[in-house]
Amino acid sequence: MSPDALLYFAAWLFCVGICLVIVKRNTLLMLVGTELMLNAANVNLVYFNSQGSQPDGAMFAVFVIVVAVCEAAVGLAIMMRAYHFYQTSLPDQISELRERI
Amino acid sequence: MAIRFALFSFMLPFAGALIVTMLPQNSRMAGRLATVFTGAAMLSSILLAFQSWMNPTHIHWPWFQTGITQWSAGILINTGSILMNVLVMFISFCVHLYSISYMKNERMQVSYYGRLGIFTGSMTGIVFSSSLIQLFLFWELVSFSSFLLIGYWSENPRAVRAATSAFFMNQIGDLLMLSGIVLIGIDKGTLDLSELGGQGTIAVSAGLLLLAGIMAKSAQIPFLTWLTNAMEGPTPVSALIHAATMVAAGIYFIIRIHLLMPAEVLLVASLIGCITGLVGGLGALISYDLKRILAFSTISQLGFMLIGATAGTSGAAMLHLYTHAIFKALLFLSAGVIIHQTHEQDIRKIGQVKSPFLTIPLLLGAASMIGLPLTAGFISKETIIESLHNGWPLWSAQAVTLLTTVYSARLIYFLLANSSWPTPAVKPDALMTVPIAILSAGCLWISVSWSPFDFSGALMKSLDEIHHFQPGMMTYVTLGLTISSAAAAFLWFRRQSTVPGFSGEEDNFGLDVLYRNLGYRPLMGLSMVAYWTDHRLINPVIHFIAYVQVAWALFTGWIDKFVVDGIITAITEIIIVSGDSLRLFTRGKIQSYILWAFLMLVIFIIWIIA
Repeated sequence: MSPDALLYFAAWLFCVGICLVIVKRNTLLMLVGTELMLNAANVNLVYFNSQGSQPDGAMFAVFVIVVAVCEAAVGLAIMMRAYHFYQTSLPDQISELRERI
Repeated sequence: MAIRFALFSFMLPFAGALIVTMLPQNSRMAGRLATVFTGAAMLSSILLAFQSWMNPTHIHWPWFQTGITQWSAGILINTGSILMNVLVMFISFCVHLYSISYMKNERMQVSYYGRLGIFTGSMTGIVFSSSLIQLFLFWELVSFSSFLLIGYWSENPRAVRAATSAFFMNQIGDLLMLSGIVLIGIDKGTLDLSELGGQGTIAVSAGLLLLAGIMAKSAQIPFLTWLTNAMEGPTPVSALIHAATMVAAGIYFIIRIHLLMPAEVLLVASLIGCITGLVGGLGALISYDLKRILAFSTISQLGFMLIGATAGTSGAAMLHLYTHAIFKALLFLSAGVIIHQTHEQDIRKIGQVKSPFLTIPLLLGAASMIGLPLTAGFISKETIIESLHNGWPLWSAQAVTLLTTVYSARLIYFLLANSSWPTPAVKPDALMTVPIAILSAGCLWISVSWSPFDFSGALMKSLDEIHHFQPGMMTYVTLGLTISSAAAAFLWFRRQSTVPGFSGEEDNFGLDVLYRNLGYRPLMGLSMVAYWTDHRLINPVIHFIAYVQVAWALFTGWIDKFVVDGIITAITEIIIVSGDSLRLFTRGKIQSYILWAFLMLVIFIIWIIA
């Protein structure tokens, strides 16, 4: 497997993630998009780790996974609270701070 | 204290009128209530007389200001005004009492007594006013209440016409008088009678204008027709307003201001008095209508008073005003009884009156009017004649006396002595008898002086403190003339089979026609010409100007709407569109924020790398 293909895969994964975040109407799928973007970064970290001698890249990837888990938990919790409060999980309908015209 | 009584006698009739008008229209109480109020006013006028007889009082207070000139209103009480006030109140009280019986079958009781009350109060206003402008207000109010009372029987078109003509004639005089007052105000800077007194005489033009107002009010020639037409009103009203008080207001006014009048105006006034006296006497001599005879006689007597006030002494004129008011009110009230019960005013058709309740008052009133000794009229008339010096005023006064004697003799002879007719059973009822009896007593010499042959008796002494009048040569001449002409008249009337006279009093012997042709017709023609000019010449120009203006307004309106407004609307549209497009970034959508943030990040990275 050529190293360039791995980088292209990571870039593609990141693009898919950001597209999900921007395009999807549901908060759950936006969270899924952020997970994809984090994992694209992990792919990059793991690839760059294999280029050097020390395993610091892989360690960093492990931390990222931990952070991603935390982020998913917090995100889901916020989503639950928001759903309880506003009776919806669609960010478009949560618009209390929006200027009324 | 004196002021308080004066104010009482001024306010009480108005208060009575106000309270009476709150009653239902045909209330029986109205007459009695109004009489009580007038009686109270009379009482306070008598108290005022006791309080300040021979003790003139003048108070005035600031009224209004024009520029830097302060005009005042006030109360001026002197012997003349006290006497006039007592007289007005006394006659008004008698007439109220008489009206209770006379008007008891009328429908509009309340309006009648309300109008009488307004008249009585306004008359007191004239009597006590110290400022000319204040006097003018009451002068107008008197004209107005007289108009209301003449037109009391408003279903009778003749009464309505008479009321209108009286009002218009008075208005002509009042307008001239108002301009006179304005002239005096400009000239002297004050209109207060006592302040004017210290400034010498007024200008001749202002004096003549005031005289015009006096002439209209006192029915002097050429205004005399309104008074005879005013006889269409109820007889008590004729007695109060058109014989005793209102028409005497002009004489009262000239007596009050005669010291201010320049000699030329006094000359003109006495000339007018002479002509009016003679014309009125002739009118009374040839009329058939009982009330019109009395009206013409009033005109004649007013002319006589005007001669006395302007060519003789004012005190004598005031005295005659007083005696005339009493005997003329008496004659009118007695005539009212006849008219009330026979429904006939033509002396050819009334027949012979026999009741002593009427014959004695009629004889006393006529005797006082002719001026037979032992009557009040004798004293006042002879005082005027004594006060006139030789010359045409004296001889016209004598002629007026002669005419008075003859027409009074004619009236008395054909009412009381002409027995060719079945006698109608006329007799006043109790309520009418009382005022007639009081007024009859007032016709005796005792109401003027203790001694029947002392001209400067009790009353005259207070009215004129300077002059002293005693019976002189002229008195005997007049007396002889009076008695011989009365006897000759009686002898001549005995030989007549019908009542001598001319019909035609309906239009005042052609005067009404003359005025219609000289005054009314040209005025109507003038107003038609003015109307035509206005309609045909001025209106098109104004319409054209209006059309041009409307067109111009429409044009500018279009410019405003489409050009000026259009520019502003375009500017606001641009701002709205740009604002909306700018707001696209901040619509509150999280995902678009993320998108823009990401794009910015990309641009930032590209910029760093490059």
